[in-house]
Amino acid sequence: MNRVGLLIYLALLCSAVAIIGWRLQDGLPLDTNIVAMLPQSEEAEWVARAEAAERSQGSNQLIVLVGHPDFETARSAALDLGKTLEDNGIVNLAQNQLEKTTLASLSELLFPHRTRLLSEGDRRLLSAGQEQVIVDRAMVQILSPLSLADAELIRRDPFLLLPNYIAASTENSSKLLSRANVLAVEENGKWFVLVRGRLAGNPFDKGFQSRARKTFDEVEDKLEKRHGDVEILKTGAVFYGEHAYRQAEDEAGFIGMISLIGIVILNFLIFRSFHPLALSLLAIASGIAGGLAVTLLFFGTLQLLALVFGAGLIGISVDYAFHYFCERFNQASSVPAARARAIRSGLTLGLVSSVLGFITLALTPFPGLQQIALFSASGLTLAYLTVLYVFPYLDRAAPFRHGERYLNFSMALHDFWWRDGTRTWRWLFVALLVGAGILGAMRITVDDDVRRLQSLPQDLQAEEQAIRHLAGIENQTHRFFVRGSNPDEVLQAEEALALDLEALRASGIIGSYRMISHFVPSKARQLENQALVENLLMPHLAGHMEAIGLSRVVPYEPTDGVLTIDQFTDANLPGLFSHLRIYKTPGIVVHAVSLSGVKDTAPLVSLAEKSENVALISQADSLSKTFGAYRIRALIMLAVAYAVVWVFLSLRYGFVGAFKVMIPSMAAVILAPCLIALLGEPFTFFNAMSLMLIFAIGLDYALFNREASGKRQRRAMLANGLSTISTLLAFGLLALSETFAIHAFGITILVGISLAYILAPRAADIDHPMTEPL
Amino acid sequence: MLSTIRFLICALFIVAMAPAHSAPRALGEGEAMMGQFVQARYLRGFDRPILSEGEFFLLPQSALIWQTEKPFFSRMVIDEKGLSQGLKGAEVTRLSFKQFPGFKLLRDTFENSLSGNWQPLEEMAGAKLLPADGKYSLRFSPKTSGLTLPFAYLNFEIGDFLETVEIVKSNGDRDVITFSDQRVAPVAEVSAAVDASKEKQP
Repeated sequence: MNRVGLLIYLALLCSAVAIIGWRLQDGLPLDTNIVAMLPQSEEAEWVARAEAAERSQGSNQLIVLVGHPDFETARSAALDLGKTLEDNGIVNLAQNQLEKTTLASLSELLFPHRTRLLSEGDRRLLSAGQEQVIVDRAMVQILSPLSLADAELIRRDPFLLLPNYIAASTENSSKLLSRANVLAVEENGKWFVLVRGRLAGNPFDKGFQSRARKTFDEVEDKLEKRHGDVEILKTGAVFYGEHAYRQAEDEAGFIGMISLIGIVILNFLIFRSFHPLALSLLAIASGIAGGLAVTLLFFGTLQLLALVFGAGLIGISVDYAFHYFCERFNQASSVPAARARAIRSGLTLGLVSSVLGFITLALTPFPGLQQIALFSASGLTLAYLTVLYVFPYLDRAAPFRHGERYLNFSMALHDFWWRDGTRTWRWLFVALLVGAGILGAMRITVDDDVRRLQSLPQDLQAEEQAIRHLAGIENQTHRFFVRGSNPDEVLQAEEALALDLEALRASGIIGSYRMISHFVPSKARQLENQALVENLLMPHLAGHMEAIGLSRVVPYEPTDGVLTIDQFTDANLPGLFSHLRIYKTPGIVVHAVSLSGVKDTAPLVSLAEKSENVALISQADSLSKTFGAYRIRALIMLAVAYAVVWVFLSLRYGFVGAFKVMIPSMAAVILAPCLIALLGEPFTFFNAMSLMLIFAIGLDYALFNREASGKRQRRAMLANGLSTISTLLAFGLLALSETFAIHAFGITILVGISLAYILAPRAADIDHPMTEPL
Repeated sequence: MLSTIRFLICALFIVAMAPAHSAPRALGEGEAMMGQFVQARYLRGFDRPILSEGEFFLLPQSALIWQTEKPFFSRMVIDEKGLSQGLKGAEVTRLSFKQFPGFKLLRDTFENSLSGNWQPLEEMAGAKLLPADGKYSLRFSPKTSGLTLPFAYLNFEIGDFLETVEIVKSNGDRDVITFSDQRVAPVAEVSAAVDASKEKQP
């Protein structure tokens, strides 16, 4: 059996290594897109892709405002900054394209189509037979001493259709002014000049982040020396990413070092040998290889959260190793195979319980949870095989000659739960726990708000807010995605949506909205416009030309073709619209419709429900909803997992016995969120996910207590104690993290695993010990 | 000798009695102005200048109201933020100075010149008012860092108040606006006149 087990282990390990090697040929396909964790459905897929594309667009942006009381100094410093960033390969500046997007160049592109481009207001006037208003407006604008129209424009467009179209479609709320080929804003006697560009590298690449940060710091010093007191405000995903990496690196370095030192000391202190540590690492490595291989085989990519939580769960494999090595304290047996046999029942029951729990989790439609489940179940299985079937071959050592003190000490907790003399203290302790639990339960607050869960650095957020305020960039909370099979279909869908949005705007439910079809109408709309102009406006042309003294010209010569969105690149489409073009692949085109001043989302939801090609997006809400859905789903599946495990364990312990075994783990899972609520901690998706770990580890502790009897009880208690200390060192210390997700994970583990360990001895049954191995 | 002395005394007397160039008037605190204008737009390649005329009302630090009455009634209000043109009571144009900062300079120039506040214009132009034929003139070609102006230069002719401004564009188009019947009055009175003038709208 042992030999078969070893062969199975080797076959699985070789397969795992081969799969990993095959899948990692192009690097680790790590998916950091949180939207990819959403359930895959036909309707949502294009939305998820659009959100990912939009996020990628946004994260590639770098925005800087350079401030100085003197405009020329601010401008000069901004140009210096832009040039340095560009020369160092950090950004491709948008300023280089500023010239191309001026009114003049836009006019050139739009001019041939001027009779087909009508603002919504002009369409309404013509449709209502009020074409004289447009004729009179042209006259008023021509007569104005502050007129934009010169002789050339009036000669070619006497009704001034194009300038009015551009003015109506490019009206914006930005405070930035175009001055001396830069965009600038003056506030409280200080000029701020914009430097904006697209990052030349991946904002989530650590190397690029460090290079960007270094270049930025150097150029800031240089500007200060050259231009004096220059204020620099910056924002962009690269800065947030760099901060997050730096913080994670600092914390990982500090916390990781403490936990590693702790675990090594623990190993040497208890086992006084390097051998257990080396074999534990083999169990962990096998577990990670198994989890990674199976996940990559079934999913192709690995989600970041699955990696983090999965790796955490297979930390249980260390516990399996502890149980094995604690058997070396058994002086009665020096045969390694006997050590494995002694722990096999507890280990097998623990593994099957955990795997059943994870299979339950895998039944959810959430790819993120499925990955975590699959990663953990397969990883634990390989770790289990390592401990039971590989350790005996590599472990030739004699029993430990020391350890009596530790074994006796570890029984103190067991005695607390089972000695008659501690009965009063036991009840007092249970009453205290229940009381604290009830108090905590009343204080539990649920928080799925992704903005708080992100724990963004305050200084960078303050800079971003300052930039938003200065530039007049509104924080748009909601928008629509509109889909079509080609650009014109999307434009038509936008125009249909605009009818409803116009009504919502009129009733004050939304402040305003912006869509690409405001600037480039659909082909059908352009032909409609042309018909309106020809039928209603052109009959007034001769009279109008006579009134302004224009003759001998034919201003509106017929032209073929219509204006299409494909005639614009991202560079020459005005900035107001370029970010609305989300993505275009053969057969699918998605545009965004931005909304501002949203007072009520319910009518917007109804609008989105009217068409499968329209989706309402609220960036923060959608992520918050995802987290909320995950949190609830994880809790439901946790309950289901307990039910499945109950049935399984009943086969060995009977229904009541199985329930008793599960009580410590369930109590830890229920009490942990209540106790951390007493500390003012909210309950989030990350806390819920931590409960899965407490479920699995807590069950292991309880099962080893239930399966051990006599002298072995001491060794099981010592192994559980070591497992608890190592788990708390590895994960509990994460509670010190300033990154909310990691902190939430850490603090829940800290409280939950401590409880699971403390309560586990109650799973033992002194009167009916398990004498028959599995 | 005596006749020579007599001649010199007479000459001095005549010089002394000759009318001096009186400095242009400026609006005082709490004063506003209203008057008439005639505008001729000379557009290159057009058969004739486009003529318009009407009333203007200057409320310093607040707004300039430009009410065209011929060839038809329209009203333009230029304030600190931008201009708004109305026709038959409905707004037909809105132009923000945020979008066109060069127009803000033109608006400020109109306000300063109409209210007789020439010093900032002299400073921007780097030139002084030139006396000529009992009046003054100024060629205004400001040096602004990077601001795209809607004109190449302005020519002012000034009597007690601004009489004529010629707005010359870089492409050769030009507008000539002649002001008359300027009347200085308290702000409240001019504001009331602004309200009353709306009644002229057919």
